Amino acid sequence: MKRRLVVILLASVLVLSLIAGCSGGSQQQAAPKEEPKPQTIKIGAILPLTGSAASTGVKLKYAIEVAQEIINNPHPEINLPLAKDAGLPNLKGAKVEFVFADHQANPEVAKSEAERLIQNEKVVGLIGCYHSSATKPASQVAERFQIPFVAGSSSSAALTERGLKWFTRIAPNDDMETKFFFDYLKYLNEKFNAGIKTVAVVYIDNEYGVHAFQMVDKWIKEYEKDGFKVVLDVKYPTNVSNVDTEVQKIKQAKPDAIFHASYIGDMTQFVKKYKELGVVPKAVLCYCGGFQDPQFVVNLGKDADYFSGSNACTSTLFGKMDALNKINELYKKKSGVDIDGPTLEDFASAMVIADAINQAGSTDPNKILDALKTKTFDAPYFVSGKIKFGPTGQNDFSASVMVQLQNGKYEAVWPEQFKTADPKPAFPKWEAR
Amino acid sequence: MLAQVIASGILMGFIYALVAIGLTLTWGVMDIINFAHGEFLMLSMYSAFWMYTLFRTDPLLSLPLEALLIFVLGYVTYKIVIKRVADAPGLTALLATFGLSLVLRNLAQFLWTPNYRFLNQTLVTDKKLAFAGIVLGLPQVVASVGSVIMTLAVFYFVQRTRMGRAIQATALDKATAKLMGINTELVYGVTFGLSGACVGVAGALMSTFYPIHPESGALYSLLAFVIVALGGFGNIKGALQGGIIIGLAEALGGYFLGTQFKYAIVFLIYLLVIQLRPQGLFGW
Amino acid sequence: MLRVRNLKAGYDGVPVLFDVSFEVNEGELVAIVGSNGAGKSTILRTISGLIKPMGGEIEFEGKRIDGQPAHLIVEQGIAHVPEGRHVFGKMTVKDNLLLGAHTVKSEKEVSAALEDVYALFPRLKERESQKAETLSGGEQQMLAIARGLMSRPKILMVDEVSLGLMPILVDKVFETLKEISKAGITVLMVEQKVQDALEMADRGYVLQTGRIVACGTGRELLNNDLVKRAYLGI
Repeated sequence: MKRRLVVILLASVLVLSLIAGCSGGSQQQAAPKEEPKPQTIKIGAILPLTGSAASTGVKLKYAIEVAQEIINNPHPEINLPLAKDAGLPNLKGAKVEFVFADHQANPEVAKSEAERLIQNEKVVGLIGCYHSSATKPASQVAERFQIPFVAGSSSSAALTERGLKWFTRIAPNDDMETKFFFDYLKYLNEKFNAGIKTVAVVYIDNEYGVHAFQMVDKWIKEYEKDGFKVVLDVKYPTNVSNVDTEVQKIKQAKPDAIFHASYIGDMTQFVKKYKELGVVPKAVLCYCGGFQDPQFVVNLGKDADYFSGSNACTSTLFGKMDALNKINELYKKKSGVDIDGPTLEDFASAMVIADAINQAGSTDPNKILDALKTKTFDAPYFVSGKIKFGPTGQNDFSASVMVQLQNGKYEAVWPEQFKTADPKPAFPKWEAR
Repeated sequence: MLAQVIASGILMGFIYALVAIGLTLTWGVMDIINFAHGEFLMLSMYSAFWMYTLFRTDPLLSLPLEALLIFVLGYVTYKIVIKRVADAPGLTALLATFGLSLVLRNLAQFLWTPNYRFLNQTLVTDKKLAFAGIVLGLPQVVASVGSVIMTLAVFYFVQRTRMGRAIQATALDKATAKLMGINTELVYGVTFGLSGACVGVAGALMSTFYPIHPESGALYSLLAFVIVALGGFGNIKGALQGGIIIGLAEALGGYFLGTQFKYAIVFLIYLLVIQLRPQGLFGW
Repeated sequence: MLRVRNLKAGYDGVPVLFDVSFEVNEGELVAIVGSNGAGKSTILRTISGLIKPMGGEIEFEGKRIDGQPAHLIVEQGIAHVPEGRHVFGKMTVKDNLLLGAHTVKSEKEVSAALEDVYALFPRLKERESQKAETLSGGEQQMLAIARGLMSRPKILMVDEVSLGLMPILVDKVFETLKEISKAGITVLMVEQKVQDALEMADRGYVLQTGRIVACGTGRELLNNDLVKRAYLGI
């Protein structure tokens, strides 16, 4: 009799707790988290901390740590939202804590790390992942659990074409970048008589590279009337022991301009091989990747000059933009190098999500998303000065500049109103450097 | 351009072969698959890098040091890691070397950061040989020639020296080898060390043109597995021939069929060979 | 020279030899005979160090050698020609012989040993560069014995040399062993062919299921009742 009573008691406790605790499921609205103002607000950051892009991932981590430092401690000398006070003012000074996870350049791991951060660490938002191929599954997890995701530097346009509700992205996508590239070539032809007609696209075989090429395929139709033609596309494996064959094909095709979608390790190998085989194009334009990494200049010295790419920022602009300069000072202390475009974009993602939480005045994911989608955020570290996410989650204010390496410095060369130097529309012979 | 493609393919092939020879020695003699082989290569490259950065020593001059260093690493790995698990079920040795490879890779990243390093001013940097419309970078030519020399040296050592014969005998029949007075434990240690010396030399040679990075060894080690299967386990000549085949397959396949398929073609060849001739093309 | 006392040995914890004692003096040709499974090979393997004894003592030239690793025992002057020959098939005849001389430090001595061995086995010189596996059964047996001699051993132990050979070849091999013994090398042989072995031996031992059941000179054993009944079919 007694035993049966115990069993019934246990069963009822079990059933009651199941009913009370049940709040999962994508069919329902996310239950508002109504805790008394928490001391620490956790935000997940999924980055490539090991693997082939680890050198970049580590720098992104430093940038996010700088954001955390600025938000949590009083920095009245920096003219940024959330810098003045310690913590988030609208949440009684609550601090933010970025919880880092390593996706190892593996989409499967990105997915499981996103799940772990949401379910175990109970983060209220996610940022990341640099690799578009990792951002894709991680943001899908966020969508499923109804957690806001702010991607910093992942450039594949496909990310904002999925109709996701909870996804936002700061960097210009490769759709916008590609048009930017063609417009720049047009500018070089018109202003400098550069005579650029044939284009080759060299891209790494992953989401980032493949999508960039698809964008070129799309935009070339518009720009054919300006005399442009794609003469070669070279897709190469993510891990290469050499780029001999790739460069041999490029040399054969003799393109005027090369569009590169490559990371730092492969990009460096390509430049060395171009030098060895004597490939001399008129312009090389790089999507957001290896070229923008300051290690590019360290690895190649003067061989890095004349390469161009779009960038959210460049060190030559530090003199003109005070907030950017101060952020760079903090960043340089950690990393030893100046902040670069992709790193700045991930810094921005950290600032924006914290700003959105603050403006929402709550850690309720629905309210945070609302803030993200409706507010315009101050971003005095970007040339555009602002960040605003459109209906697809894409940042409408993605003003990048076209930069070109001249004497080891990333000079802003276009559009003219931002330029710090004139563009050089042709490569010299390698021996003549 | 075809001649250029073939020439580059053969040059790379010799380098791949040297890496594969290291692997085939341990696999053929001891029946041990050393999953940390690529990491030994990576450590050799880092040694060359640090010798260059700290002491201004050109990799071609510090090469003997790298060979010795990785020889010792191989020998010690045998004594400390492999010997302990020699009597455990076969899978344990595999897991042990796999674990070692993870440890070494992460240790490298921890100690030296994941940044890609390049050696930019060695004796051979930026020089090239050009003839008959073919351009060959001097770093690759020297690396290739160096690999061939080391390959011949290893071959001579195994075929003609006392220790070399002892290695062969131990591989064929361990118990009878003992009856010859051969210290089979020493043979195993030396074989592992020799395997290390091969990648020690290869790493020093490659450091003149390849990015140095905690993951640098991974792809070469993977290709080495394919070449060992192609050439036959324990077969040095087979590894050389296999290396050239793979180098050419990568170059020609990549050029004509598409660069994104470079390695797919290599692995396809591997699958075909192990299906049709499991002992390798030149297997014993 | 070699003294074995109360030897107990076996495989995987199961003993095959229970209490074996015998000795071999310098210059002798001693035969241990018995039927299949008696444990003959086990004796030689324990002496040469391939397996460790479970009990008893093995003394060579006054020093205990039981428990030492095989390669050290060989260095002390014991050569073991194993059952089934075990030549290194993929290696040449010459390389096989050179391996036999692995413990010989001086190159000159190795060359001298090679010459001696070729004198004894001219057929091997003819086949010098051939892979050992291409030799016939009889030739491989010669090679195995020659290989054993290359280290100029103090004692040559041969295990079942007659196994798998045609009768003519068996005679030839036994002839060779007699010659080797006459040249002064101590020989310990282990054999199934009881009659032949006892006829050539100076002394012999009979091994039955792991124990010595009879011993004496070759002649004495041939006349022994037990031997005659069990092994000679008389």
